[in-house]
Amino acid sequence: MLPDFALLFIVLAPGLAALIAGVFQKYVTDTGAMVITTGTVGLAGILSVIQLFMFAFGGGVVEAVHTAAPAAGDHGAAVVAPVQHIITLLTWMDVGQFQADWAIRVDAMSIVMMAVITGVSGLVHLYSWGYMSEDPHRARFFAYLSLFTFMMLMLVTADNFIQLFFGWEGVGLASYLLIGFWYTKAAPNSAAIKAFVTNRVGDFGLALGIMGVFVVFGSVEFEPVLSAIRENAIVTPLALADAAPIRELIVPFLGYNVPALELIGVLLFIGAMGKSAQFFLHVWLPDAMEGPTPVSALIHAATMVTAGVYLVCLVSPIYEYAPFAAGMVTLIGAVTALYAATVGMAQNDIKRVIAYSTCSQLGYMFFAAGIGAYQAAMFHLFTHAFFKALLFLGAGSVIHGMHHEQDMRRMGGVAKFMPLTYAAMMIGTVAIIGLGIPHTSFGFAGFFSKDAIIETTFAAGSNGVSFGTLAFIFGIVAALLTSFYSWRLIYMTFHGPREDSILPETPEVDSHADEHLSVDDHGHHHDHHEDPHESPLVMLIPLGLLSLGAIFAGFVFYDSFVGHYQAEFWAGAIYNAADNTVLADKYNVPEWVFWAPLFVTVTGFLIATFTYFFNRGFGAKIAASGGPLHSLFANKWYFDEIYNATFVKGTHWLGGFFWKTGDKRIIDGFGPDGVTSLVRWGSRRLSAMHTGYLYHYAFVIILAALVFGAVIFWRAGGAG
Amino acid sequence: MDITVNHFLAVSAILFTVGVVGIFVNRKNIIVILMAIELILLSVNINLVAFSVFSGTIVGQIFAMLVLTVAAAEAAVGLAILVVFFRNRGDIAVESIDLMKG
Repeated sequence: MLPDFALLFIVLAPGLAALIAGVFQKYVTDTGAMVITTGTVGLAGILSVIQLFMFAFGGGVVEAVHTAAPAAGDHGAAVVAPVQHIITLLTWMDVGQFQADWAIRVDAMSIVMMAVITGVSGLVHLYSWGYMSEDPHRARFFAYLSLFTFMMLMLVTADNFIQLFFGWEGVGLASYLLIGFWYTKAAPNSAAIKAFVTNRVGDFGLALGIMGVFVVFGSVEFEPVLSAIRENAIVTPLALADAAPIRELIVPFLGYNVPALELIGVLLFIGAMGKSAQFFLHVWLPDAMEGPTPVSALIHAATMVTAGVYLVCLVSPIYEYAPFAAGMVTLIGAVTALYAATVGMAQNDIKRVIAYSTCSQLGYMFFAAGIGAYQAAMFHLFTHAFFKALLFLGAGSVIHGMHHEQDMRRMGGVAKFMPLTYAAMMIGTVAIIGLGIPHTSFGFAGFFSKDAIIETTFAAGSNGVSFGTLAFIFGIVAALLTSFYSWRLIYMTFHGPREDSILPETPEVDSHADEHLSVDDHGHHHDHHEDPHESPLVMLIPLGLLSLGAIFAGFVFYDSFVGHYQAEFWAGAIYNAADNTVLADKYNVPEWVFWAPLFVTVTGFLIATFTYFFNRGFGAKIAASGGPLHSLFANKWYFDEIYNATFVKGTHWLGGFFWKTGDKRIIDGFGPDGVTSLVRWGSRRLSAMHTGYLYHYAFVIILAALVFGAVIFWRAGGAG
Repeated sequence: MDITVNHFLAVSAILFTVGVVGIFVNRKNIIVILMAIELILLSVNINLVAFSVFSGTIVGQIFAMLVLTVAAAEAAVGLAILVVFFRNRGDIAVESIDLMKG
């Protein structure tokens, strides 16, 4: 591993750079902010990648594992204490048993994530020099990017749930700020709010899960909690239930008695669903594409949305002994993979297609984690970061070259204007569809990771893991659809004639066109019919480097992540129960399972080629005919409409009820308003008695004198 | 028929009532109100003197003299106020005196 000061630099320097670029942007200027942020994050990225290679191929780790636990090579059959190095920076909270530190945890999980985060982030920083070159608020943009990088690193290097939650919310904040970066327009603002609010739903589950962890284990630090599960230790929950071995512990929740691990697993997964845009909580991700494209590549494809997968894999011991929670992870992941792929087929915005593709791939990762192949999930997370960032940055390059046109129906024939971008997009596409030949080392990154997932899922299905077979079928169908929509994107964008005039300029489409805040300093802004141009070198270098990753990441790291050396590589950071042998079983699946992904991928390719290459316009005809299936897909299964009709309108009604009836009518009506109106009414009556006429006053005086006289007379017993 | 104290009290009560009604029924002239107040005071005086005579003590008659003095002073002050008021407003009709209306 790297020395401590290098690790500190990787994690803290982006935060410091964000602070300088953000708070002192007046003094450092735009260029200064760009240099500082890009320099620090880029250097951190280089260090992290070096660390990953050292860790995977350095040899030191293997020895460390074998020394720590001799049986570690047996595919996790033995209880393995994770090999980890924790740098404690500060004590954050120390109240009774509740202890949380600021720390940097370095183990296999965080090393992989650090390499992905800082690597992609560095490239995205560099790319943004070109993409954002005309934006008047570059310092702010780069400050947000670095802030995001810092928060994400805090998330993955946490050694307790509280610091993880801090990073979790921090990336949510950065995501919100960056989606709404062009704050003068309505769509980014509402998209930012939608992302934030949807994430609140998930974060509620995560917060409850963390509280549950503390109540059950009396600690929020990862290692005591996870080792207790690994060793089936006897725990004493705080004031809830009697002490019991953790795997059998039953705790009360909402009046029901539920297994503690199932409860915590489900709650943590709800948090993961929100952050990783899984089915039911996925609605924010496509809208998040209103943000600048580099942001989409970094946050909404490569890093932040994978935080949920990371969390599920990090707490793998919980899911190993929570079959119901793991089944839920599998089911939601499988449904998301299929659902997002169907929607991705019918979208016309180039970024939305890739956004749904991201959603779908996250579904793959989740069902892989759900069936117990956490290593495969992390592997797909790792390779996906490369090719999805590549696809997004490639799409950004096209958008940049097309003068901020995002509608694929208005593209076409871009290949000959942007050959390098075209090449990068081709590499990204063959990587995401998982092109490769089984049983050989020939294949792009997605081939290794996606096939590992498909094979382990089939093995899990055969082993009787719940929803395993369903996930396998959904995964295969989603692979077919992935191939179809990826090639559809390529054909619609890069091939055929220039079709920038087949659609009239509609305001709806045009809202994407003027992405920049300032129209004045954007010279070629309204020349939509000008030919596209290739992007500058500063944008092509990241594409090139990511292309290398998309080609080689799978091949180079296959053995370490999911292959024969996985136990040594993960070094206990991921835990597999003794009866969970899916990673080993994936070598023993029937021959057709190896070939099925390739078969459906080629099928998808042929259908797309037939529909969008040889019969150009056939796809448009299907869309125009408005069949029920196409309408369903194009309208995202009407999720937005359903949520709008139920949750949004319902909340609106409830808010209106509390506001108008509860607050205005009841609280104000009987409170301040009621008292004032009563006083006004009473004083008006009283003032009406003051007629000003003397004889009225005299009458009152005399009457009062009589009454008082009578009272005194009567009280004195005068009657008798 | 002997004249008893009740007869005096009846006269006094009638006078008192006339005075009180005089205050309310009169809408025209504020001087009439002053006169009505005088009537009320006189009815009280009759009571005092009557009780004094029939009980054989002199205290009531002395007190009646005191009341007469106060009534005279009160009439003087009231009339003086009226004069000043008339100079200011040019009118002493009861109807028009409603400056204290709330």
